[in-house]
Amino acid sequence: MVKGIKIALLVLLFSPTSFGQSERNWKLNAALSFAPGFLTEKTQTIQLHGYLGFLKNKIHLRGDGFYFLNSFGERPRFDMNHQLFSGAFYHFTEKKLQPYIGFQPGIAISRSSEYYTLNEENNELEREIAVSPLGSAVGGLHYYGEKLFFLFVEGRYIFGKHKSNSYPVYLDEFRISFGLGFTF
Amino acid sequence: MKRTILTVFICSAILMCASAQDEDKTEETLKSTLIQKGQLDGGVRTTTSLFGHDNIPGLGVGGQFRLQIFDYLNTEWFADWITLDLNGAGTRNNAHIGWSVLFYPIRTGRVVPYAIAGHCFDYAKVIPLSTPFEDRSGDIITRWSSAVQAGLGSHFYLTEKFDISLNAQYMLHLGKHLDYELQPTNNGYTLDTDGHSSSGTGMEGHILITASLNYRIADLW
Repeated sequence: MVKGIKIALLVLLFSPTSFGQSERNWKLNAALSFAPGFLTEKTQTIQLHGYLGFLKNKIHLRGDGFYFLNSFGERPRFDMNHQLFSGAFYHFTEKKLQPYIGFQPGIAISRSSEYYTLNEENNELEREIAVSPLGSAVGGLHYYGEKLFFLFVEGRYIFGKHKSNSYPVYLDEFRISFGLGFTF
Repeated sequence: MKRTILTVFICSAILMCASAQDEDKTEETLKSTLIQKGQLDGGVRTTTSLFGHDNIPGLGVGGQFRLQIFDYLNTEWFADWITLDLNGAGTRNNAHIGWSVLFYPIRTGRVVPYAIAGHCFDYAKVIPLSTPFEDRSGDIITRWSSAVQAGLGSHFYLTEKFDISLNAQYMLHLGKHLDYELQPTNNGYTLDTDGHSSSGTGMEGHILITASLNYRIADLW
């Protein structure tokens, strides 16, 4: 009898639903990727893209960061264009292959490479760094491996305008990310 | 041995039943528990400003917390950063930090409409365009003011904890007038400021359309 009680207690103690050890229905995702971007006037950019997300019941809350590396083409526009986003995504399934869509508001910390302004105090030409609001619509795919890893590919349309003390410049861009992530 | 297997089987069955019952309960009560007192939500938002001083749309970004005091009454604590391109002649930046009260006439179902009203503090900065030949940093004007806002909106619950909210509010700034004017020229616009940050009393209003994504962080009471 005592043995039976001991076994019952052990089963309860180490069962999946005890003490938060239940089969966890949420995931923490972290991923890294290179993200090429496409602007008008045959111009391309390249960014380092990283994110951290919390996925539960098909809702993925994500914070994303893009570190601007360089731009090429007919009109590069910026020599600094780092961006931060925060928002939510809806995953259509909970299978291994998960298509998703989402929306993320964000900010751009950007500096024009085209428009200089005069500083009368030191008589030098300067360019101001501006913090401008952004919006972005995202669609993509996650493919979860057996353990720990996942692959993702996504497309993102970013809209906004760099506004400083000089001429405004559109921040609109289509960006693709393809990378590898860890899931915990 | 048989007793051991039986014990393990019974305990597992009880746990599985309990888990299944929880799921059923969640589904049954989902619609009636979406909006309840004590809930704390956090979210991000994007705001469009329309029909303001210059009739130029602006784009904003921000965040918010919602703390529900009563079943029919919620509070929202927000901060926004909105920028406007003044037709290429300058930039206007607005920062809002404030609070609103949300009243729910109906609070069942996944779509929950509400009336919203509140107050905020506003910082505005107007920056005329400088060029490589002209430094207009001396013409920058700023203003701190207070504002009240009211409107209508709705939450759309996708899951028990996650909602998308959309609202439209009219915001009325109380305080001194921010004195600047956009003048059309042959080559676009020029921004004239009188050098004073603000002058005289005046009322200035605009419409704010806000879309937000919110997640329930806690159920406090």
